[in-house]
Amino acid sequence: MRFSLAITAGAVALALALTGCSTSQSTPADDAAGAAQGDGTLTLYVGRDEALIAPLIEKFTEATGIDVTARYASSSELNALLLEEGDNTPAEAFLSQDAGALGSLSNAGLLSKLPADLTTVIPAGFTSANGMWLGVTGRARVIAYDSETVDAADVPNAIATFTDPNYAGEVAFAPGNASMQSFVTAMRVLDGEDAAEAWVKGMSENSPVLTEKNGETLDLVNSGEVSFGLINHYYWFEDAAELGADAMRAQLAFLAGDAGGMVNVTGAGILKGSKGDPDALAFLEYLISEEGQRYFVEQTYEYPLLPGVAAPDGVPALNTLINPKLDLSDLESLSQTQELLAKYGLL
Amino acid sequence: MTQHVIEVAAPSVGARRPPHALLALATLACAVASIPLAYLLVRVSGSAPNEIASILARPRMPALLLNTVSLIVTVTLASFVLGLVTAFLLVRARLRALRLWIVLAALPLAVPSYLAAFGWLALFPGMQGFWGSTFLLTIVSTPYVTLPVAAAMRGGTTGLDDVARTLGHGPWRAFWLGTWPQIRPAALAGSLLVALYVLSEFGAVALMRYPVLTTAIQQAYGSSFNRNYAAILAIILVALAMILVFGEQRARGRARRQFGAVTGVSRVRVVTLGAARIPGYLLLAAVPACAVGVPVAVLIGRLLQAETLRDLDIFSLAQAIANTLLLALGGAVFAVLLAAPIAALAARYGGRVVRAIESAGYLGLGLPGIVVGLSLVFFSLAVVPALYQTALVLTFAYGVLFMPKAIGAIRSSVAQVPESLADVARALGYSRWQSWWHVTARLARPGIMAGALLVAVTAMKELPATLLLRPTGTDTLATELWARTDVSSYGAAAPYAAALVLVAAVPAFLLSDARRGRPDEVPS
Amino acid sequence: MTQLSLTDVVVGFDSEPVLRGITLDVPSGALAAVVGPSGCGKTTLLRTIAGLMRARSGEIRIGQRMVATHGIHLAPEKRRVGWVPQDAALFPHLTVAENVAFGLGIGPRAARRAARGPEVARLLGLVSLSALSDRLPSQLSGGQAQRVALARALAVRPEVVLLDEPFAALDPVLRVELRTEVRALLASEGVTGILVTHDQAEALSTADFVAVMNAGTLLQFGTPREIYEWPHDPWVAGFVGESNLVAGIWRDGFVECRLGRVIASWGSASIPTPVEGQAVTLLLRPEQLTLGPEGTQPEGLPATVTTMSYGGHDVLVGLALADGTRMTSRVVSAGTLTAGAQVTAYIVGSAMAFSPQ
Repeated sequence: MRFSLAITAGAVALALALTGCSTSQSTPADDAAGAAQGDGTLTLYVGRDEALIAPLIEKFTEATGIDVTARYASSSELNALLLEEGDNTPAEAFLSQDAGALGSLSNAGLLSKLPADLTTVIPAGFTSANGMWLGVTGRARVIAYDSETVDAADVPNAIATFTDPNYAGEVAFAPGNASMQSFVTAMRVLDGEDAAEAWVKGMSENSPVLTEKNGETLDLVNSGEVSFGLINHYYWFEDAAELGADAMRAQLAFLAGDAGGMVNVTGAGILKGSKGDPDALAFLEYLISEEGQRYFVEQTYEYPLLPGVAAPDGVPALNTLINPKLDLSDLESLSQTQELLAKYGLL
Repeated sequence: MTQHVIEVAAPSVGARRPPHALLALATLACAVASIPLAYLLVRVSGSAPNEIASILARPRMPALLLNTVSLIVTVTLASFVLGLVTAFLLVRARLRALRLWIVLAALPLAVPSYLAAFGWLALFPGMQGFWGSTFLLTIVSTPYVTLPVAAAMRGGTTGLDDVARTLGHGPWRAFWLGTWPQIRPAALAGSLLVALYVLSEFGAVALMRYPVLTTAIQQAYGSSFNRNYAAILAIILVALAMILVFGEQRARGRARRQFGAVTGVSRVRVVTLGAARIPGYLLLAAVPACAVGVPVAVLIGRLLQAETLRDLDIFSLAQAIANTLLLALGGAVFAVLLAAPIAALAARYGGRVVRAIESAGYLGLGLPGIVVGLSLVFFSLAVVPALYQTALVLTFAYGVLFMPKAIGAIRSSVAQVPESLADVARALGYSRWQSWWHVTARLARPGIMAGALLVAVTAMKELPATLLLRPTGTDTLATELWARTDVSSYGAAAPYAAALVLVAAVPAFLLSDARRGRPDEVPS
Repeated sequence: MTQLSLTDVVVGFDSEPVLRGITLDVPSGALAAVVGPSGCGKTTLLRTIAGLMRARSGEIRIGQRMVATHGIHLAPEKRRVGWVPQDAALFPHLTVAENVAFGLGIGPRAARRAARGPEVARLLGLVSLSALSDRLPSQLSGGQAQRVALARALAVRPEVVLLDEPFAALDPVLRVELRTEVRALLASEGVTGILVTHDQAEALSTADFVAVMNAGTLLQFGTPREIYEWPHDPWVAGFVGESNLVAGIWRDGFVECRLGRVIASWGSASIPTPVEGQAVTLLLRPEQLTLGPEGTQPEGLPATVTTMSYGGHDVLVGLALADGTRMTSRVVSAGTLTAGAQVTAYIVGSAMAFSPQ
């Protein structure tokens, strides 16, 4: 067996040799050389649903004449892909489901700094703190509750309440989900490390129902298996659009003024090799144009981030929700959050 | 042709050294199979030792490991028992509509685990966690045991059971003494595929909310953006996979010696079930009904919704079907090319080197698709950047991922081709390659085809590596399905899911070998 | 003229040699049989000649061609040897004619074309299988399959045909018939043959030469008569036929032993004639021990019949001498002998003496 392992190791070495052992060191591209000329085409990695984005891209092409080749996968897979591709990526721009993926790329030096006239349009706290990416839409953290067993008036108005033993086994959430982790980060920043740790500890000891995704969490509430779920607001609206708002057993409670009601954003960035590419810039501009913003509002019930564009019906105004002075793509903070979750066995 | 069952002083497996060219090819295939491991080592080497230690010391780690291992154990055992009983019924029992049952037994292969999970959850949202996962993975992976065991039973004999009965043993004991040694290698090989499949499975366990190592890997990519953490978890998967492969090899090594004496005679006595008839039919119906019936029924329910059909884009569906077929075919070709030298080596020669090469060939199957996908992103960008995001690299990835499924089938069919045939061809003027091609490969064709079909049916359902490596803008049925289940509009996914099950049912049908009734038969 | 020549051929590794230096010359057109117990290396010898195994050292010549020598190993497909394995190894997916034609081109298409040619028809005629040319191997009897295998081997006009126990699986009558036929066929085609068999009677009756092997070593090579009548050691003697072995003392052309004073010639070829008084082993074939009624001759040995093994044309009689020594005698007719009968045994002709093992 030891010998077999040696052989296996040899084969691995050969495989390593095959790959040329190239953990290609990314050389910082010359800023000036990066200023690409527009060629009327754009290769885009999209970490959001094809059914949602494909029509938007069509509108964009209609409006600008720029041909877009889009590659769809989940944001996490595309993030991993872009990290692996490094400087060799065919992508020029990346539309991501969450800020963390953009922060990860930015940390890896794979994004290019965006022009200030673009980044300043979106209010601080909802876009990149250092101008490496652009916030596009907002997603509020909410409590989904089972309206058949819980009275609207009895829904806690602070997330901290859920550590109470009364809620044991009644709260579902997806600890691995990026927006859930953002919320914990927000809690650490807003309420302090001790309060956040107490909350995580309390939740972990309160028989939480752990899920992989927000959608699953909502399904559990909708089927009455748990009374409460911690999710993003638009999941409910999507289901309501398909099934009818009246058919929804789960109802939403927004947490004004509480870390549990913080707002995550989706965003977009331009890859380093395409710095200043007019086609990519045009696409980002389009995303935060009135037309683009309204598209998201209508289709996904997400918050528009462009001031002046109306939020979807039935959600509280963006400025009533806490706007943590957070860098949503701060991965160092994210990894501390993950360590905290891991410490109590949630990750 | 008459079989001469005589004691021959033939050189035993392992007595001879394999030819250098074969060894070189097999080593190359083994190196290709090791690409994901090499990639993982590169990633892990990016982490500081104390970082690795702290990750391994996470409180959740023992739970993840325990969950993974217990799922492997229960699913493998359950599939083993179900597969064995099913195979027995299909081969040894007098059944009405035998061909129908043979096809039905293979059909669960056509259903992606995530689709089965979706169908069951639509009906029983509470069916989650460990037992839900065990149930689902068992029903979809039972054919991995049923197919090879049924083939081994058909090629075997009940004569030994008869001898055991005359020696005073009861029917169960006689089966254990007579039949079990004959089907043991096939049952072990099938169980290994099941165990590795469970190890790397992600879709169904995620839907069933059962946290295992693969879901943790997905989380590591999804929320931590921590490739190194994911790589460390994946290395644990590799270690588990190696334990499984070595375990199977050890068990099979003993099995081979036990079985060595019983070759050539092939006679199967069929029994009448009698009172056991009803439970027998029920069992035969239960697995396909659970694995295929329920998800398909749910799908049909969605399909019949008028809105779904109105929205259906026939052209894109047809395009996706064509892409799926072509890519799966390419994957099957790569897998067979990679598996053939390893299988030929393992079939004809023994020894530690051969065993090590064979086990390395199984690496890909123990890893989730996203890891193998990323490793090939890494590999293709480093070695053949011009081919990056082309169908060639994607099909190559299918080959790396699924070649273990072909290794077993090819190995056993090559082992059944008498070596003397190749010797004769050599003496008649055929070179080593000509002899291999015109004699050994020609006669092992059923097994090679079975291996290719098994790869094709799996590749059709593959998602994560496909998402990473597909040519931009190319959609397969699996990616179309993914794109439509990600939004909560499950209805729109139904036509693609139905098409996927239908398309994958074709290789599953061919694998069941209902046409010939005697799979893996090497005329001799 | 020598057709096949092996010089000091070694196969295997130092730790486990399979052939320990085999030297052998087979004349052109002859049929040589290789006999030895299971695992003695006879099949390995055949495979090495065919090129299916690699010799570690030594030389092999086929006709004028050196096919294996230090560092050179001619591939089997270039050696022009015919190979007839024990299980016939017919290609199950090809007809009889296509099997015979398999070596006349590369691949099944070439075989199919050649199967209709005159050469295949001639060969099938030679093995009397013309009527079965379109059958599949699964439809043949064991003897027919072996004939096809032989025709297939002869099709490529080999200089040497190697037969690896081709008759082992056949019933005895068919066996005798087929080996006679094979011998005639090889002779008529002028092909040198090497026949591996574990049946010494088959070797002695069929072959022009017999090679006796044990433990990777060639013990003796000679005509069947030489091997049987003048074996080089008691082991060879015992392997190719029944023998009685008795310990004794060498006394100038005689051996003194419990049978008395027996005329003997010296057998061990590699050892010089022994000195007076040296311990030797005396070998007597059963047919050198004849039986008469009790007490008929003074120089006879009184014995009791213990067993009777009736072989049809002759009878093997087990004897116990007065001192308990067990002997075997072969008599043409059992007459009135039964177990328990008192008889007198006589030694006929000259026995052989060997140095003790």
